[in-house]
Amino acid sequence: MDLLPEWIQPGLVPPSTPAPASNFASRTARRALGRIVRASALLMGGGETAEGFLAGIDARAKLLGVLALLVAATLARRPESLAAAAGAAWVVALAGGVNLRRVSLVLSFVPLFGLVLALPAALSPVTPGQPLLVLLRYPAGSWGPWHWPADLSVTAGGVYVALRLLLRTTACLSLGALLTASTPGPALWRALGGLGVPAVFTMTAGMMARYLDLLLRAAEEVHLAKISRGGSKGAGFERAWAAASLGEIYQRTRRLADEVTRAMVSRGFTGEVRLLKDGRFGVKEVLFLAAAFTGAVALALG
Amino acid sequence: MHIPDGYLGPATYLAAYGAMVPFWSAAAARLKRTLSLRRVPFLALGAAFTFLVMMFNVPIPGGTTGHAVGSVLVAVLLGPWAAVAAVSVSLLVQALLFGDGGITAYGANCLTMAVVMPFTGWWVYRVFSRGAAPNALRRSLAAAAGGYVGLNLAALATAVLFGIQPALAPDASGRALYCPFPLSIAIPAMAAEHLLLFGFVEAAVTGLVVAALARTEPNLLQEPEGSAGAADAQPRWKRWALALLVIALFTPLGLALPGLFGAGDAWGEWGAEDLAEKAGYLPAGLQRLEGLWKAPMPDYAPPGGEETTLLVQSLWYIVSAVTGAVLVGGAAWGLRRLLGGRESHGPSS
Repeated sequence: MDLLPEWIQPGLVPPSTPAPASNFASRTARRALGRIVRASALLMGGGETAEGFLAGIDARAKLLGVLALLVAATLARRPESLAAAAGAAWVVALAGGVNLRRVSLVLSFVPLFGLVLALPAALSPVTPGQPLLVLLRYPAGSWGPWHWPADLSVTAGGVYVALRLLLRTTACLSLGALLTASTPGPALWRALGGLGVPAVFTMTAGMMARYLDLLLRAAEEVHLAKISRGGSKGAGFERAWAAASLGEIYQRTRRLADEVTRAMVSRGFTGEVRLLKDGRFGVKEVLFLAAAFTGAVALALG
Repeated sequence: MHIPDGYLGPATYLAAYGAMVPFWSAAAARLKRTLSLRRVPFLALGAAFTFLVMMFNVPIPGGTTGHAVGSVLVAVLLGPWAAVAAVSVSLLVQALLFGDGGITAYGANCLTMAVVMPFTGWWVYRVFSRGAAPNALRRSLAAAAGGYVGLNLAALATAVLFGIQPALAPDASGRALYCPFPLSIAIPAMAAEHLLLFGFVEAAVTGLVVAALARTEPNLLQEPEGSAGAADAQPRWKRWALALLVIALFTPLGLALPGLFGAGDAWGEWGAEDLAEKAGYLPAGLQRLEGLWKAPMPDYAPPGGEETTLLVQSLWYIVSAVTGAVLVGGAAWGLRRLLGGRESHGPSS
């Protein structure tokens, strides 16, 4: 029994240490870790797992159709049309059997980011108009290009503008998420190549997505190690730690790139890009495109 | 900084896509020439690295944290054209797989983060790091300055794209269809947060990562893409001086052309007398401050002003231009010497 070091002996109560969660460094690392885990979840829950009629449609058709709908969503003027577009995207996602968790993950930041940008638009200094709710009263004035009314209020016109902006963003994001949640990454890059995007970009994007998961795991390990060690030596130390970690990950990135290049070259890669055979445009694709373009015209004119 | 879909109107995002086409074409052509498709993994992993940079939170003054964009860092490590490609690819993956940044706004995001930011940041880095050893402190400081300037100019470009929307695309009742904030709100809002907060995060990450790499692998900080280094610094300096001299010789055009077209003073650059004539009175504050500083060469004009001949005025204009260029160049050189004096010239280890 005595052969074991004291700290591993059974029954030993470890000395109390300050909870790592309470310090600034740990909080910072945890926040970053949350972002990494979310990114990993999005990468892992890709279109590969998608089933249903949307997954069976050629990626080029989906890409063209969604692009048309996105342009239409940016042309639409009425909030009702935009709400209908966002709703329709969700109905198609449900009916098409796409990974709803992935769609909701993509959309999870809309309320926060959208509200931060859209809410001030509802206020009288940005959108003047009929006040709905007066928040503050002060003397009106102007300074240079800035003019402010006699009160800070939520205006009817402002609410309309903010609502339209929020709905437009939600509709666009829902449509984009519909595409990516129902299409595996490699098919998406192939579709982009099919639409004329240079091979150097599509191939790079494909490889980036593939190796990103690996590098995200490296970043996750770095953050986990940081959290497990706890304790902070101040903001300067934190900055130095982030820089050193990034430097290390960059070196790891270069080593990995070297290995991948050698592996590719040893398997006969000469720089010529050979894409897997694209699917065929059948009745399904034509019907999908017809529906998407009809929807786009209705949305733009509605 | 990532503009989502719905904040820019079709006129803006289509123009941004149009503006990006030459950059993407040039980047693809340059990469083919300098990198070759066999080196695609480097580009792909460089793109992945730009994504990872955003995953690291850095403390900033005030007890909060932020994350860097990383475009200038990639430009410093891989060169600006490789950064255009790597950051564009990274933004594409972010937009398509993560919903971070819009698909319609992709061109605009590339314009700000894959062109404005890496190029301006890299230029600043090049100016201040020219001739410095890979592990010199000046190189890290130059990278930090590049990160700060690059991010702020990218933020300014984003603010302009946001701010022109209310004027470009109002609805029938005059309300904004897209981003509702005019330039007078968008620019101060973006400038304040980037000048005071995020600029320092970008500077810290860019500078410190370059410093960390300088310690562990300084060969990574050699000038990328065959760009000119210290060896040709002197001939370049001479070329710049010659170009400035030629431009200085043409400055008297500034005297002749306004007269030819009957143009007056530039708007807002009036003297006290002109302003009093235009406004009908002279503001008290302006009257008090007007005589605070007497310029040694007022209006770039010789003693006697407009009463002298055009030839004398032209010669004086050239003298003013050369004096100004020498003073600004001397100040930049002095700053460089000042920063260079603190660097270490130790061999790379």
